[in-house]
Amino acid sequence: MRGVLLNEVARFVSAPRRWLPIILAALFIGLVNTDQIRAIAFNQQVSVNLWDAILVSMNNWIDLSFVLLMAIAFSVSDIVTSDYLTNYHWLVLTRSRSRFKWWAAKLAVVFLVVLVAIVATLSSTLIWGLVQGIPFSSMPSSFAMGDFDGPPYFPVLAPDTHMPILVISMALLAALGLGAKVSCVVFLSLFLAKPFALIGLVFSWALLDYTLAGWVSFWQRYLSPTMKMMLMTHWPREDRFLPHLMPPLWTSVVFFVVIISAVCFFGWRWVRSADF
Amino acid sequence: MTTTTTVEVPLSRLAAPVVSLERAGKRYGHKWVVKEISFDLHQGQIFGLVGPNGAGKTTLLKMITGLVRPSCGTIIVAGKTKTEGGAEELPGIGLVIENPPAIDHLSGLRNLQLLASINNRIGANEVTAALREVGLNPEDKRPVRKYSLGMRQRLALAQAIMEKPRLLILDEPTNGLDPQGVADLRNLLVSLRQEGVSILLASHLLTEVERICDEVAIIKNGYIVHRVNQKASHGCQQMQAAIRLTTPQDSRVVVDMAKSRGWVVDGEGTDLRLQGVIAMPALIRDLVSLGVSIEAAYREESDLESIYLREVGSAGQ
Repeated sequence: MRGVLLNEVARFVSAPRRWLPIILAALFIGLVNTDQIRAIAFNQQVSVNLWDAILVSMNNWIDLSFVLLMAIAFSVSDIVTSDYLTNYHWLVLTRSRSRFKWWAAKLAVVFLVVLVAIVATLSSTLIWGLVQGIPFSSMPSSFAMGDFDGPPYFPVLAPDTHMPILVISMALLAALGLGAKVSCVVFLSLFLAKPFALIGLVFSWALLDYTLAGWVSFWQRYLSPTMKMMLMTHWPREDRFLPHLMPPLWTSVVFFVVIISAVCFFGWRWVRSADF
Repeated sequence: MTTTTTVEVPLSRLAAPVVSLERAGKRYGHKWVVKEISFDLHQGQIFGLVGPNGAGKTTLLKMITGLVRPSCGTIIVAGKTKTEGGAEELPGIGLVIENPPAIDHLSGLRNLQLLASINNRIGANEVTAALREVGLNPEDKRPVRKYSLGMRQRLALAQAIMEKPRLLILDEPTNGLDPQGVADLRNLLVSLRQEGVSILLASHLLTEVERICDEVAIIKNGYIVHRVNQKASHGCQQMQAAIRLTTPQDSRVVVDMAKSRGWVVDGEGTDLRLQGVIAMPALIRDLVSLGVSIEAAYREESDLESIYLREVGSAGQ
């Protein structure tokens, strides 16, 4: 499995056009959010720190479920179809003799890319924040604890919140959620070998999810993947929320794991009997 | 029409064939791309596949590697049987495909090391040895994107042979090779044959196929339309004679004579074609003595190119 994965990663890294959208998206999200935090600090006269920019970006629909999702989809939508074009999979499959390993390696690359995209976004936010002079602190800021006028940008935090752990957890949940979404795209590419059509589907899905979550409360509470991805900030105060209004965090994890398992299983079933 | 030549089978060929196809076929929708293909490839044998573009050669090679499921028939590779519905890659196959893929920003050595890491059977020494064997320098740090077409083809050959496969499948391996490269490839294939490697070669270079293959199948529209056993045809001095008679009534006499001598007769009316061990002067003398009126008689070339052009050029048969 290691060898197949190494081949997949090497092929992915070799195409700069795959990385460019992710780098651009990460830079864009970092710049916009640090700018926003700086503006809030100035306008509201409230203390902020670097974590706030990350919390805002990880709780922002457009950043997470549109800009980053589209960038990742653009990068990975053709990882299967590029094999069909180059026939590289001939060389891999005649050696590995396991189509499951080939399919599992494709999905593993998807999750690696998603994780790298999120780490790049967080890093870009931190770097832009430092460049703009936003201070670093291990504690939540007054802004994060809701000590300002106006609606909060994310669920307010308790003073004893451990910020690094919260941010890492948010990043992992976001990676799981984005990975589940993008693995569905790669699954569809097994049947629909048209990467640009798939990117169009992702675009339509993002708009549909946004619209339904805004208008249909059942969708928002139980089905919207984006809402589930953003549940992590509720987690430190989960006991304060009513379960029928805000499902517990573990249901999000189960939701994404079920999607990923289904993609893995049905993808393998198709790949097992496919003609390459 | 499939024409086969009966040959004496060497003792080494009596063992189970490395590849055996029995009425194998592949259908996409209602269209048969490969149909009723049967042949055996034995250890240390080179089997050539020739045919026009779209004849079904690549699909047939994919079926043998296990990348494509057969729609009918049986394919046995190294003792493993594949029948309808089963899709599984088969063991010990080295593969060179048309337009060989590679990871362009890596060196040739790094490309091979990555592929070798998949089943981890060989080490760095075998990889560098394979590169040297095909005439590439393992120390060459240039990325593959800077390789010429011929160098890429040599790299593809190196990846195919580096793990010492028992079966080598080559689809257009001479693409982009200069004359020296073609000669090197020929020598390499002959030496691999001597080591017991079985080779399935699909190529448009008929002269090369004729020179190195033990047996050649001409494929057209998914069927094997002609099989040539190179050794048999060279050894027995087989030839083909074309005869044009003055009257069609004489054709009966010619057919009877040919059958009595074990020749194959093709054609009808005044135009007949005879295949077998034929001496032209004796043929003409015998026909004249039988009272046959001959308008023209000539010897037809029986090299692979002539056979190919005759079989592939005859549309609809």
